Amino acid sequence: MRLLDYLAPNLVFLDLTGKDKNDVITKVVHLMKQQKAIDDEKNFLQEVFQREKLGCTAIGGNVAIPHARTRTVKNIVIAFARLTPGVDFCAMDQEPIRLLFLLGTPMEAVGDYLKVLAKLSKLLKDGANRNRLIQAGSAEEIYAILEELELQAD
Amino acid sequence: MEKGSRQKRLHSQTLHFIFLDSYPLNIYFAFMTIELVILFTALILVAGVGMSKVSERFGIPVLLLFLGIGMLAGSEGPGGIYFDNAQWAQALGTIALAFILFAGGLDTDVPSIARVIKPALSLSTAGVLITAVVTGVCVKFTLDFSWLTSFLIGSIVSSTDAAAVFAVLRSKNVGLKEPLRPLLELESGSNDPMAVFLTLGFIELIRNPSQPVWTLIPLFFQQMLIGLLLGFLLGRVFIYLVNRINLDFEGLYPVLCVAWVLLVYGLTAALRGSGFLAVYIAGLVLSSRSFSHKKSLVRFQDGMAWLMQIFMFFTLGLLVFPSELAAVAGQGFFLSLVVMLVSRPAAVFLSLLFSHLSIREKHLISWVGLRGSVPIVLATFPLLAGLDANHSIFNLIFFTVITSVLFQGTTIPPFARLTGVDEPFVKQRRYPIDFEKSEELDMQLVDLFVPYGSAVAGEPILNLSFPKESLITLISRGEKYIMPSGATVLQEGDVLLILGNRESLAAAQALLEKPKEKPKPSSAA
Repeated sequence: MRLLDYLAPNLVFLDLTGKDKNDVITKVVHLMKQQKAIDDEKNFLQEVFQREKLGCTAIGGNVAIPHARTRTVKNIVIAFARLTPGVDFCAMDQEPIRLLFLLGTPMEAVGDYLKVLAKLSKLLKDGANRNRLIQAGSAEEIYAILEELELQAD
Repeated sequence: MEKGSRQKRLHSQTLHFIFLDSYPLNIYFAFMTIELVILFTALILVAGVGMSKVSERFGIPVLLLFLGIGMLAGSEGPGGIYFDNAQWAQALGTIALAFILFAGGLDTDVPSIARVIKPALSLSTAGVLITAVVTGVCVKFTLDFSWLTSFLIGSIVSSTDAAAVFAVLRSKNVGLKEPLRPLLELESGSNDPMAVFLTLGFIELIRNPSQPVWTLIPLFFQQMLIGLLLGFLLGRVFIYLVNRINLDFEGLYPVLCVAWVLLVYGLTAALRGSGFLAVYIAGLVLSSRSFSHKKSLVRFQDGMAWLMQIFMFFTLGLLVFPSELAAVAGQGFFLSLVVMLVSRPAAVFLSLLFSHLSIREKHLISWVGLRGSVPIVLATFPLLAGLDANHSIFNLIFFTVITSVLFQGTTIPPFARLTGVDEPFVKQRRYPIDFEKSEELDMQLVDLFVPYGSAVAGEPILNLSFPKESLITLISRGEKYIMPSGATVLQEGDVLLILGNRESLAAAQALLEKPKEKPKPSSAA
């Protein structure tokens, strides 16, 4: 399983920000719709919010991975957004979120989904990896870093 | 007064569906014993099932192969069965279509079609009409038919069959991008009633040349409204019944369901509505709600639909005499070109004028306008109405359908790639563990992260006070799944698949979010 199979280069967004968690998620979902990665913006947003209610998806170290099972995608879709300045989520370590991975997965399919979540959280456990993503200069660079990190992990 | 009697005559044609005159069965089984007939039937079914493997392997629509078996079994093939009773073929075709449409509705993912309902309805009403009219005009000016007969031919070929398309796509591992798949599915399920209506309408106009065309309009609304209403109501009644009836024997539920399909079709047609529309709608209603025994019924009806398909195509294959097809080959080829290249594109582009679909998507929809079983079944109508004495219309339609399926069916995967609307086909894999929410049990399966720096990391599950009403069913770590036990040590970044109710899940999340206490600097002591 390759993460980058699910994360298209046109879904890497730099220097987004918002006033709070919901605002940022709404913006990223809107961008996903603009890039035609999803169809039904409204429902997907609701599904993500619903999952967020069950437990915060900020996993610490400036990282959050909001996600939801949804009918609007046929395969796993990941979008990445770097938030500048960071936005307060509900993280246990109370650090603002800088690296946001937003993930949609189809209802019935794809055992890969739990693996994608786990692989992302494993890659980002290393503070050095997170810093490289935070300091990268362009979307291309971020994509290249993710590619490299994934290769190392394999 | 006069208008009333005209309508009545038109209705009596519709009623042909259910009240068949007793007619002798012309299969010449005389030399066969009952054992041989049974053996023969078994061989047909086994061959039909086997053909699905051939279809998968070579990407040939299974419909063609079923027809092929029928033609081989016929009097001009090695089977040598002489069969020319259009009435039996039509009766079987009608029953089979009712079951196939019902299963089609039952198999539809209702939430996914909600977004495509407008373009799909436009295609299945205006689109069908445009296909019929444009084809009719082309036929009139090139082949030797009268105006009304030309429109009749146009009507007969006006409905599409997407099931054949999806089978081909699946065998070639090609998927279609949203929203094409639900759109094409809904279109092909809902355009048959319109094609049936137009066919019956033009047959009636040919029989009564004095009847003005506009009399079809109120009849259209009557047929569709009654079909819609009864399909919806009877679908709901069935759900109510199945939930309440509590039969002692599990095996009786499918029987009730079979009876219901016939009831929905029969009652609607008897009340002069569109029976095909009613069974399709009833299938959709059942698909959109949950009720007891749903899973087993869906599977059973899927089997029924296959059985019906095999029998129907076999019978239609028997009905045709391949030697007669050669005579219409030129005309048939021409007609299929007209349908593929002129009337279908015209219908798609005109009826989707106000939709948000792109040009590429419309091109693909045009090319996926495959003709399936419905035109062949409808082609038996003029035969029975005595309008097609030398089978020229029937043979023409038969040839056209085969050409369309052969040509379009096999070229759809490359065409989808060419127009850029394909995507890798996603095999339906299950979630590693799934849990259906039910009313009695307020539980759900949720994935929760172990945050970086959480106090639970490094601890075996046994030592953690997870809430009583929760269960860690699976741990996803890196790229591995771990079956948890009490001794399993959690790590930062693990994803836990937890079964629990609202309170216990909240408590579990709170536990996971407890930060590890930082070792106090020794100077503080």
